[in-house]
Amino acid sequence: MRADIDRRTLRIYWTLLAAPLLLLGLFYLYPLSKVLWLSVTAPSPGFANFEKLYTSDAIQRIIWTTVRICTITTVLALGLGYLIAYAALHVRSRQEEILLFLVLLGSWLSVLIRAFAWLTLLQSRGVINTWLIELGLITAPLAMVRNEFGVVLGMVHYMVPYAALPLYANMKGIDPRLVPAARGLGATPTQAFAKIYLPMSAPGLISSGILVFIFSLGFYVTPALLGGGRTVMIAEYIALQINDTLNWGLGTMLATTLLLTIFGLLALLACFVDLRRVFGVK
Amino acid sequence: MATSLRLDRISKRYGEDLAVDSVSLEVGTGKFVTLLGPSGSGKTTLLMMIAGFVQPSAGRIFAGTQDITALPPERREFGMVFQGYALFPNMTVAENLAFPLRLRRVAAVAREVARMLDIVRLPGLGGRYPRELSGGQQQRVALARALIFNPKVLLLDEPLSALDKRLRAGLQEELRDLHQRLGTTFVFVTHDQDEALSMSDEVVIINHGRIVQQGTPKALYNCPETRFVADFLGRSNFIEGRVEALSGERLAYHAGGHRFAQEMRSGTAGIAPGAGVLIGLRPEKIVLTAAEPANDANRLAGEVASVSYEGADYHVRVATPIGSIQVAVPAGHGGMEPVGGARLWLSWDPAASVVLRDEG
Repeated sequence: MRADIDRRTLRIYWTLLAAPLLLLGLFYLYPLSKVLWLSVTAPSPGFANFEKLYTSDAIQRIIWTTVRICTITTVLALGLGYLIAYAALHVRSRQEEILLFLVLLGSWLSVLIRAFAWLTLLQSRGVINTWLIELGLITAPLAMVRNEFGVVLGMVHYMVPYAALPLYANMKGIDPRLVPAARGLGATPTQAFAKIYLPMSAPGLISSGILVFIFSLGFYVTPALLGGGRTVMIAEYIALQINDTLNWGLGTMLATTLLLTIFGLLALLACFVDLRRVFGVK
Repeated sequence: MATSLRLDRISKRYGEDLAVDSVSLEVGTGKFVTLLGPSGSGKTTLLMMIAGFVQPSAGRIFAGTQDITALPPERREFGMVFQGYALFPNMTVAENLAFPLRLRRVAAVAREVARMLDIVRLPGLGGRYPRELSGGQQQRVALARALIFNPKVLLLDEPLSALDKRLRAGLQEELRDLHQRLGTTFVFVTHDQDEALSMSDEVVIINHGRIVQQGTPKALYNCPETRFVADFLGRSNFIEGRVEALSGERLAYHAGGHRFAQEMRSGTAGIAPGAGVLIGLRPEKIVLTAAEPANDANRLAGEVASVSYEGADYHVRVATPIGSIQVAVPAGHGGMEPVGGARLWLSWDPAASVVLRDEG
């Protein structure tokens, strides 16, 4: 009797799943496999495309830029996220709600809108430069955009919620009596933080850090707009190969490399935390 | 080295609320003093001010002769056992115990840790993590960690409340024993009156942020001054009467049409013929007899309304002309077994009951 119901329920589940699975296979997995396939076949079969990872200066420069920007972004976003999460847990509940709301509010805006907003603020005839010149603080506009500074600023802005919220969840699990307990045992506030709170929040820092780094690697819109073609990261470079130079072999090779790197990082992340929890499945 | 504590008119205000209202208290060196009160009475806030986690709004705190009011907790050298223990989950038991020693750069950490683990009867468990221990074991680790650096005072915030009843009784005894062996000053906070009575040298009863009464457990139980104390510490019957006559230490009052005698403590204020009087009478101080007692004790006839058996004694409710009176009758001594509906006599000595003030 029970097995019957289970089999019927199972059939319903599979029927419901069929449509999304079909769509996913047709429009996502199939093109993706083509990309992977192209990377080892175009223009001629073999690993010639992948050799360029070691031989091409241009590609190595792009990868280095990408890794550097992502690392700086991750460190800054983690730092800010840590402060926000810590503050949210140590203020009154009303202020905590407002703080978390503000963090989320930013992430509800489209990435495109945010990039244009930064442009408006930062460009040489933008709001900030105009003010500074009018106030007489500077004579020539500061270069705050179309360079690495602008890219990092835009990316950190986007990434702070992704750093703050997992850290907040992690810190919420830390017994608030531990720091007073450490102080009662003779630790100064700094010692109590360094020896008790920081180690307790380390798993959160590691998982948020890897998560932010992975997200940063694939950034396209923000670097393209705020980098203005001068600071080029890997996603923009891939788009360039596919759309403009039609060097599909090189483009797909870089896409494949990016994909494998991200899988590698996710595997690393899985060593520290339950991935299903990070992505909210559990 | 153990020290004494002195609180001088300590207050704590949270906005409009006065959590602690001008409390003055002395805790002698090496004493075991319990702060007892219902939840929200301010006892924990008081403890947190002694520990240094909460700054008093007014008043001063002294350790020995030193004014420590402005001293941060880490410089007070007080041990503290938190409710829920607050063991460091990322450290082993040994590392937890070593924590205060390393902060003080003590040599021979390992030896001290082993010695302390022996004292709290957890030898060989140093390598375990807190989550691998039972509640009672965690409790002892917390105690060991708070005592290992020879604190001047040990503060305990409801340390036994999370444990089951049997374990609690065992740990109460151990705690008492530890106190006697180490000679450290203990300040213990609890809402459990039995715990307070069985462990302390002195109990301080707190309600609405004020000290209501303080004294030895025996004095508090036998001579409560107010209705709140009589009710909070153990069980009590209350008789509301009217004073008829007053002669020396003896008071005559009537209630429910009956006349009773009452021994008075000297200095009981506000008692005059014609005035209302509140009498507290412990259930176990009442004697039940089938026949009218022949002596000159207070007496009252009644009918058994309900009987509940509680192991060591019967808890009997008797309907009388002055209302329902609870009586505790020891079981298993071959005495009379009360049955519902039986008519019998209650009697008590004029010195067995106390005159109370009707306030918290």
